[in-house]
Amino acid sequence: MNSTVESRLSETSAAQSSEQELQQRLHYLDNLRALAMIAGVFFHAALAYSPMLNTYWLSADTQQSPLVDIVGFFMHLFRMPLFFLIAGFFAAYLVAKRGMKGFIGNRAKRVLLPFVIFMPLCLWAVVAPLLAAVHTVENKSPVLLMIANAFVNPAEAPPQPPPTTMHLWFLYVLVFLYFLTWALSYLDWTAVRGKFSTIKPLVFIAVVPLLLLPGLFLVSSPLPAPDSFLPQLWAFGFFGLFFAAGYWMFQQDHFLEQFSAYWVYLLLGSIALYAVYFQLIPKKIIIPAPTVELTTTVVLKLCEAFVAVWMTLVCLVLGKRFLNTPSRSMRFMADSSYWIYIIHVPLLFAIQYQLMDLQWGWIEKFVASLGITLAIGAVSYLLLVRWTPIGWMLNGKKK
Amino acid sequence: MNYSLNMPVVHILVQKDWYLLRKLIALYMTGAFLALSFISLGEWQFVMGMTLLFSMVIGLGNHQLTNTIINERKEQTLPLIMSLPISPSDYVVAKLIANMTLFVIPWAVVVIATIAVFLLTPIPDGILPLTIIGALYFMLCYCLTWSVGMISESEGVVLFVMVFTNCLIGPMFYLIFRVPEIAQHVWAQEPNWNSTAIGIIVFQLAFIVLALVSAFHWQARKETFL
Repeated sequence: MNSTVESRLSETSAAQSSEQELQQRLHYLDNLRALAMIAGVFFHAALAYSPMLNTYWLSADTQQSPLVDIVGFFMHLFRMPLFFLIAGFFAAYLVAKRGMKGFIGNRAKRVLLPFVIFMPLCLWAVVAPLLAAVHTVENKSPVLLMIANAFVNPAEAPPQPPPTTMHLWFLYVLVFLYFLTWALSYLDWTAVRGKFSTIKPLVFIAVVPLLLLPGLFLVSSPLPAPDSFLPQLWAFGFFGLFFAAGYWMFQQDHFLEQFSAYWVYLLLGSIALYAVYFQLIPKKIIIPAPTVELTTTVVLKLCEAFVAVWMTLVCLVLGKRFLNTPSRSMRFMADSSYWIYIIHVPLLFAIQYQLMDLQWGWIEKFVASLGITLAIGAVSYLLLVRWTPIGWMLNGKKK
Repeated sequence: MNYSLNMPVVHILVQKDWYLLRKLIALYMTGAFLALSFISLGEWQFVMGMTLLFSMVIGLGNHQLTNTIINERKEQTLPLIMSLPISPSDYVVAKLIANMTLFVIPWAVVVIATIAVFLLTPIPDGILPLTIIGALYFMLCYCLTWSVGMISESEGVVLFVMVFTNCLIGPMFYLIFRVPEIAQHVWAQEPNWNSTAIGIIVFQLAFIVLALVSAFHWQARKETFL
């Protein structure tokens, strides 16, 4: 009897200490996830000043800089892969902690429900200022000009674009990935997991990016957002593999330590590959993408795959080194980033329409639109979200 | 005759089938999801994706009927069920709820997703009546096979009905395409819900109801399982 009690006590204390250890492990991932989301706000704010996207971005400004494209599209290659890897990690954590049923319930509440609620609201919040901007903005972007012309001459209006999930595409893709998590949990993954666990770090660095190529070959460069309501196969072959890697990483306690010695080389290698990549991608995005020579496509896809994996590893290694301590400010950013990300696109557009006629440089406009968006996001989080049912839905109840 | 059902046992039997079929559903839903993500890749991928999508629906229907009705007899699960305090009517209700939910939900998801694709993409919406007729045909095949399974309780007969109804898929679409009131509007921008299209749909629905009622009628006449 005593031995049973002792063993139960020892099991409980072991479970508690492993839970504490896990919490410790989660700080940097939580912070990295928040940074990836906030980096998305930076990216979208910068696109108004991108020469590459000028033809298609609603709030494209007359002030532009190639620097925006150079930095923006570098981040674009690993920001969402990193996010999906972390999402996979937390999915495995939830399954381990709450079981599959608890996991499905939790994800339905935190991901599916916000998507269903905020998708139509965001759409309305994008369209309303857009219709106003068509009449009020003097220096119209090519898209605003096209819409204004369509109002004047409806017969020559281009066909309506298909509905999109906009910047909330990641929630939509996540819903499918969570579904696959459930469906594929019935298969035995022991052999695959075992194989991956024995891969040496240098082999991992050299070979694993190649797994992304089939997905990447289905899509043009630079990578578009998979924002169609129709599931995009390439997104599952690319982001889905990062999600799977994160899921697998949950059980690999010392996976990241293996790469600690290589992060500088991975960073330098990524920058070198990105330099090649940036030379080859079109300097002006055209839809549908023109046919590209096969050799160029292969080089572009290899660059995308390697930069995405390497930079994700760099972020994880640096995150674990520098962001793994509890901090109030990082905690606030981690909590508020989801809300800020959801509302940022309509806000950015509304603000950037107001800036389009001002005689400011692109940096001033970028800083102003970004700063105001982040400020409104943070304040609205504090006042309207954190302690309300919206906050409970997005992040759970605060203790 | 007393028609009151033993609902607690019916509930347990339904849950048993749901539990036993969860892997199968996961597998077919994954296949359907893969097929759906193929559709946007191009013209031939669209045809392939649609074929794969409906193959998944047919496969799911046939596979689950084999597992829940035929294998239940072969693997001696039925004698255990017979030892429970249930009547043949309880059994048929449990099978109806379990099988129909397991088929109708994935079927409805696939049909809704397909309709959404047609409505949201440049594919002409005129194809919608034909799509609904096709989708209802799959439903009809499923209900017919289910009813034959419940009535005949024979593996051979059920397999024959499965093969027969599946063989008719091609001729069914061939014949529907030969109906001028349907064929003329397939590539139109707007769907044409004319009396022919509605008539075929009503006929299919009536056939589905008839098949299900027949199974109930047959089982209700039985006093024991033997």
